[in-house]
Amino acid sequence: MSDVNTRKLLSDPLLDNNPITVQVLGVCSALAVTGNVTNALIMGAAVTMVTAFSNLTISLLRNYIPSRIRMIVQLVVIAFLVTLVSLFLQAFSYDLSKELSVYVGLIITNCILMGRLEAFALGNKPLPSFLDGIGNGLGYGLILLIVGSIRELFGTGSLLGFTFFGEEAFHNIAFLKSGFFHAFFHNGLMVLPIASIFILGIIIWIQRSKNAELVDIS
Amino acid sequence: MGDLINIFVKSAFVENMVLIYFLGMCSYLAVSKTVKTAVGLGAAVIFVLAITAPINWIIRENLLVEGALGWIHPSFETLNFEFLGLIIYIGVIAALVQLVEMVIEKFSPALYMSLGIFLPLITVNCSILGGTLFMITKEYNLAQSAVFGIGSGFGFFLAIVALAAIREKLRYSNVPAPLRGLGMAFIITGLMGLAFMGLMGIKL
Amino acid sequence: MSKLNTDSNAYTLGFLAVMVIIVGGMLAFVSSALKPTIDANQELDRRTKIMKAILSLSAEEEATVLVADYVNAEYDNKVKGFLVNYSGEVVEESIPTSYDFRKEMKDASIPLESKLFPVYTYESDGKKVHVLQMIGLGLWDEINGYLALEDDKETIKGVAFDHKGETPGLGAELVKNKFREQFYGQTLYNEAGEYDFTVYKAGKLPAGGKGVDGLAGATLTTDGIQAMVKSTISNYSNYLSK
Repeated sequence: MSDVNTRKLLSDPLLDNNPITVQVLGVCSALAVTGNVTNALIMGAAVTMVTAFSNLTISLLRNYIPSRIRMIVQLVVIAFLVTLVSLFLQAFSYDLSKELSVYVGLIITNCILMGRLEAFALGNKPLPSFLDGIGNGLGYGLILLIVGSIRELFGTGSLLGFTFFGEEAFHNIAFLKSGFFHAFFHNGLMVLPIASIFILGIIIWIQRSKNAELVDIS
Repeated sequence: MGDLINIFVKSAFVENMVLIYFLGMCSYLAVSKTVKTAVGLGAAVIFVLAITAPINWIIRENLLVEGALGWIHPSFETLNFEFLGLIIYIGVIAALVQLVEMVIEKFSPALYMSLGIFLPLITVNCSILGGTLFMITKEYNLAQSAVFGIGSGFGFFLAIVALAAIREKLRYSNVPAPLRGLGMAFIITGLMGLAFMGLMGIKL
Repeated sequence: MSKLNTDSNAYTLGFLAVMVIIVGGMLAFVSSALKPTIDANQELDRRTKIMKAILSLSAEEEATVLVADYVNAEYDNKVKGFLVNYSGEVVEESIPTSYDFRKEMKDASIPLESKLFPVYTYESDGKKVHVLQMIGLGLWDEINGYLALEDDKETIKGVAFDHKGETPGLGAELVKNKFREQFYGQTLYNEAGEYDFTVYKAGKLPAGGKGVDGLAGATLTTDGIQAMVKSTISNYSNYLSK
């Protein structure tokens, strides 16, 4: 395996073959948990871990899995990893696990996982599969991060707890204290999960106008 | 009884799986190109949700929660198998989907052909597992969770058929090329979601 | 490897069995290893909410003061929990572990008059703070919390809320200090001694008036909070008038 290929495994899913905007996998959680950047980052990290390790496991087992129960085996491996993530979140980051609630469990049915297992891990060696998992997880995380930043910034006026817009913005920096940054009103739509669907639509629009190959003919 | 009707209306409209919680988006976007396939997938989802929600409820209440195994021996009272929940729920769902697949293949080969690879995808349709997980957090009883399953399934059916109908009409309009297909489907779903948000807060 | 017939029934069943045992065993191990930590987290979360209501601090103070060790020490030493019945008499001197407030309130087979309600008291400087437990319905799902009253049982000392699924950024803002701090120091009754406390729709709070300004963009969560505070005070009315 050459270096070029390794890099492609990691970089392709970030843009040209992004799991959310191009393969249309794993949209559900991308919409529901992107209200702020912290949640988006944690969700991205959790999914990256689960994709990478489920890809690795299935790829190691690929010659031993009975074909008739292939789906069940894949689901058990995924469910196992997700339960682990969920238990660790509850033990070491209780507040986050409360906030993400059922969406951690729903990583199981995140189509990215099954999609990558079927399309890649079942036919490839462990190392490339592992990298493919990381790449796709990161591609997913990237979109979550973009959507999360837009929603948090315009919905609440702050980013990662630091306020940029609104009454409280820069209240300790004299020359920025008035004017432009204060005239901003929080956008109520951005706070709602529905905003992310419009943002995703627009991201897809931009991406496809840059890359004509992706355009849907039908 | 009135309580059950409330749960049905609530899960189908006010708390629509797809348009309010955005669960089950993958197959929702992928199989909504024509009304015919959308109806097929929608019906399959209703069926699977209506069975999996109560079955998973029975399994959870009788085998998994703390104290559920007390009937075998009092010393099992303290056992709590909830950590196995996710694996078992998804196992039940996978098995049932397989069953539905076989039934459809036998009785309606045409539908089977048109649903193609999307039937196995019902397993990883978030709205199915979501139905089970929401049923747990809402602490429903057996009858309520069955109605909740049917209601959520009906909500999915409604949403996917509506989107497919709009997309069929949309083929005759002049959408900018990069936005065609997927991009437009997202925007339409967003608008439909906004419309459904109007139902929010209806007290039942 | 090629000799292995991965499609035979025996192999399939064997594979399943081995997989189930390995996965089940590993999960059982991890779950039992982490269970004490998870339980401790849940207990700390509950205690922190009670202490938040009692101490009625600002956001900055809460972030620095309410660390795990402090909450646990303060709770163990100064907070006393007991159960009262509807007539306000103390029935249990401590709260039994089997008591579940949510179940008690949701169980329709127990009439309100026979339900038991938890009270937590906190003593400092010879004054008692009374903490009542609340439960209600928000827009999507359950909302709950703790309401701390001063020694006179009329003035709100502090309050802490939690929720199961309110809209992030709108209804879910009820946990934030900005909203909660409005409750501090408000009195529940008017001059005539009648219950008079309103959580207004956002922006509808009369200037200089009594009451609390609701959550912006979350009218139904706000209504839920109003109803929850009202029903809590009515549940505990006999205890409070003692």
